[in-house]
Amino acid sequence: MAATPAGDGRLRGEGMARSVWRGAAFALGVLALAGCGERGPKASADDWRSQVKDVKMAVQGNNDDPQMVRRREVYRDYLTKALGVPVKLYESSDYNGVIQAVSSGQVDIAGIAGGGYANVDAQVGDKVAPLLTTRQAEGETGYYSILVVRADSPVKSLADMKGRSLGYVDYNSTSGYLYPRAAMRKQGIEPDTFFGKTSFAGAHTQAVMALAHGQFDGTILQASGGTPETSFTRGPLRTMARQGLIDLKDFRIVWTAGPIPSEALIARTDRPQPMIDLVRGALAALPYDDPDLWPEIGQLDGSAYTAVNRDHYKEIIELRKEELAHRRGGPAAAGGRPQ
Amino acid sequence: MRALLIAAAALGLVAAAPAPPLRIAAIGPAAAACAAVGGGAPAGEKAYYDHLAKRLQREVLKCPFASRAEAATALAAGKVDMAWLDPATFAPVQAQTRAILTVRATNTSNRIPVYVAVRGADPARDLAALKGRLIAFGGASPAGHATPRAVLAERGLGAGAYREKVEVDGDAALAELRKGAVDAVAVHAAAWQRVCRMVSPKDPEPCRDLRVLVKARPEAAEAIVIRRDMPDELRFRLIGIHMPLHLEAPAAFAYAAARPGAAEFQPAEAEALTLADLK
Repeated sequence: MAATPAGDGRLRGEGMARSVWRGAAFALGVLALAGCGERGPKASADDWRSQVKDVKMAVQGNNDDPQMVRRREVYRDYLTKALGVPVKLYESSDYNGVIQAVSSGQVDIAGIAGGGYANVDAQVGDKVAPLLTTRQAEGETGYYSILVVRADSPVKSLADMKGRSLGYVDYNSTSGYLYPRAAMRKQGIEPDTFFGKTSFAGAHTQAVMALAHGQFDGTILQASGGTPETSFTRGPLRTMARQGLIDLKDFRIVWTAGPIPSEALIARTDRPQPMIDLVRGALAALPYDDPDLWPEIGQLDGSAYTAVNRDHYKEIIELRKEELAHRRGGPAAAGGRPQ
Repeated sequence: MRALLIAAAALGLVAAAPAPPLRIAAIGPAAAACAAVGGGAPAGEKAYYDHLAKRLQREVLKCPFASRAEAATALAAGKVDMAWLDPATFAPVQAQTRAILTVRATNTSNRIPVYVAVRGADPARDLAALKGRLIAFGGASPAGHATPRAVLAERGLGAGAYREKVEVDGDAALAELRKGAVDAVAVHAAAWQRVCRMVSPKDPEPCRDLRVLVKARPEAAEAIVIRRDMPDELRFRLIGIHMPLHLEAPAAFAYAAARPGAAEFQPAEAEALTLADLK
């Protein structure tokens, strides 16, 4: 039964769906009593659509970036056509919005960074599972944290940042907080005491603007589409340069950490399996079915989806646990945790 | 009473619309009728058929054929729904069938698109015109060198038919082309995009001075092939079930992939078993 997008028709449709479900449940009871229910019902391919009227997907971001808005429309339109039910995108301006939406079951699927998935995993465990991540042309399935300073800064390395101000992105950001802090600790630097001051910018774009305006001496950002050796082709610096908001020549990368397992497409596992398989297959087919559309949704040419499960994010899940344990260990000394 | 009527209708629907079985061609000593895989089948084979049946909510049958060519003919005729084919057996049935899945081997990249390009002023209009000329590659990695070489070789430009220069990366290869130090580049799609994608509104077409001769993925050696009239929903579900098979059902994957060093299933474009250029 096809769902009507909105209005009275939808309400009637849902009411009818409930009636049919009651009837179908009764029918199944009859089958079971008659001893015919051993193999279960022979479900038709679109049975899941009687349970799911629309597919809700959470994405992080805002509507300030016209390119991002366009990408989401392309993404939504493709999925709607492929799934045969309306796909509704729920945008959250911060990481926590996506995390809570999928953890609470308000949405069915979400695009989320590893750190966000680690948070979801801690909340609901196997009720949510990663389906896909991207494999880049050179075979890598990760991205990087980068420490960026202004081009005219005297800072040439992470060591030069001692006592200076640093901007993180968000407490739930993998590349903008979780991973670089763990990498610093591995290098013998305690991030809670090493820097003079630390703050959260809220998002990558805001972090770049704060750096440009001198609010930080350096900021942590995400970069992808390459390696420290090949340079990067994607990330907030590149995006903002394309928009004409900044000039790449005004910034320098002085430190990198990674690779970090790339963003996952995750799904609620309590949704119908045929829907989950369909979502995974439709998205994975996209770069092969329509290679011109693939970059339109913000993916790098030459990349493609690959199937993943929880194991792919084990390192991030452990890092998050360590970070939480560290924070619970007591307030930081000079410099302190971000305010 | 209303509930009884609805129940009856539901029963009717259930009985009237069983999903048709999925029939998979398998190469064996001799052709035989399609049949369910029994308990005596090897564990991996049984696991694969059971996994597909459970996830597709329909019966999955094994249909033995003596050769891939026979399986291809049966696929095109609608007697089976899925078969492993290679370029030779795919060619005669290309109009009725399409590839959907290939197997990626361990430690190899995806079947990434490759660009072969020359300067806009160069008279070359096809690969044949590059014979004996100097081609720059964007790195020594498999994606930077081996894959572009494979794409050239498949199109008649084997090693030895051209001179080559392996640069550090795609940026360097394209810079050499622009300087006139080489005649052409063969780089993977990400390297091309790194240089040729818009990075500033002031320069929306950074590579308008170059001409692309070929944009293509390497030809697949083998692929799972279906009929073109299979509904997209079933095609997508088959892809969505096969892709995580190595994670969810390793024994089933070992049987289904059955290629040395197989790492995972990956989707494929319809013409993966041909030398077709990408649009």
